[in-house]
Amino acid sequence: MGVAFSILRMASVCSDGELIERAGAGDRSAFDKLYRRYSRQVFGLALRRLGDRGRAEDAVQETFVSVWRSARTYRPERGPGAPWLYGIARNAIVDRSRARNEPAAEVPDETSTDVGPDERAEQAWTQWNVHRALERLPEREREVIALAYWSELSQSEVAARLGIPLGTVKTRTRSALMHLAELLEGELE
Amino acid sequence: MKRRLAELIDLAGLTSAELARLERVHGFLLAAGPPAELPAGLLDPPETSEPGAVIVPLAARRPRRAVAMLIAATVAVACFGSGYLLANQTHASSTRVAQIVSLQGPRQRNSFASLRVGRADAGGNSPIRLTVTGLPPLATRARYALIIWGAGRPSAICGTFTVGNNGPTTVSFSVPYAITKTTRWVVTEMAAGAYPGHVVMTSS
Repeated sequence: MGVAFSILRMASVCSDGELIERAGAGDRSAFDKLYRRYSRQVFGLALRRLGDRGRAEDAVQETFVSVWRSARTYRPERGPGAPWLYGIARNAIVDRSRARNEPAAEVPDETSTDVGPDERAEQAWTQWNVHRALERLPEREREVIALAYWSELSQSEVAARLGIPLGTVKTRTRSALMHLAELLEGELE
Repeated sequence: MKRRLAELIDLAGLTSAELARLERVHGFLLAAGPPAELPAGLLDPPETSEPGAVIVPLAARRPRRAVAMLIAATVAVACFGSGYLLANQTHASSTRVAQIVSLQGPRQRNSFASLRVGRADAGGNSPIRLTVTGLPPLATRARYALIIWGAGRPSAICGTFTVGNNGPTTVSFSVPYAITKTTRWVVTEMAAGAYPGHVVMTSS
């Protein structure tokens, strides 16, 4: 029932494509929603690619100004909104790295330190989708994922920190992973 | 730190297909790393004008030009002097950013600027940092100027700059003005001594 409720909740949210179309028609609130939905991901992508917070912040600004300017050119029949926005972000980031005439900094993945441009692009796209999926999780699931994966706390320590039983932490983590599997269906194929 | 999935969840009751899916998601999370924290200056969306808005050049306001020029030039000399003296003491990049404003040129120019405004210090000086992309280099004595715009005319100049062939260009100033979310900014192109010049970029 919890899973069904979450999926219903997700389905009731405006799609990216709808928001882009509304922004293209001059709807500022739709643009603001897009910004809140994607700014962290664009910043993460830019930071990873450019290796400099200031330049990454500028790339975020440039990305969303471009989104606002070109939203009216978005055609939903050509594909969903997320890849369209990702393309704009990627172009803004690449332009910024080229404009400085410096090689872009690329923080290597621990899992793949020796990959080519195609694989890097694929990793960046997967990372983008993973972080987008995380944003769509219910807050309490997102919280346990963040603590379990990136806090260096054991699950027992997570339980103590959240003041809930260890079993609940594990159940919640599993539930979050199952949600993520649904949200990342395309990536898992 | 790489963790095994079995350390994080109870695997009992999962089918092999479910386990394989969760292992893939687990791998994605480990590879993706934590989402970036959004800096305070990016918490709000950038200011925008109407999509495709056309900038009205200063030349359209000729009837008031002589008076406006006199007032603006006086303000400019006073403000730019103090801004220049403070420019090397404080920079937006080393100060907490209060807001980030984007400026755009007309669509065909494809120019863009990002303006970071730091919090004012005890003396009322706000550090600002402007990063500009897409503006062409100018003739020798010409300059671009960052100007605060109010009531349809330039109200204070923050500083002047030039750009090279390879953008973007970043410049820092410190200005003694009360800056709010509604402050309107423009970048103008000034021929030698021709303040304020014509507008090439504007915030919304």
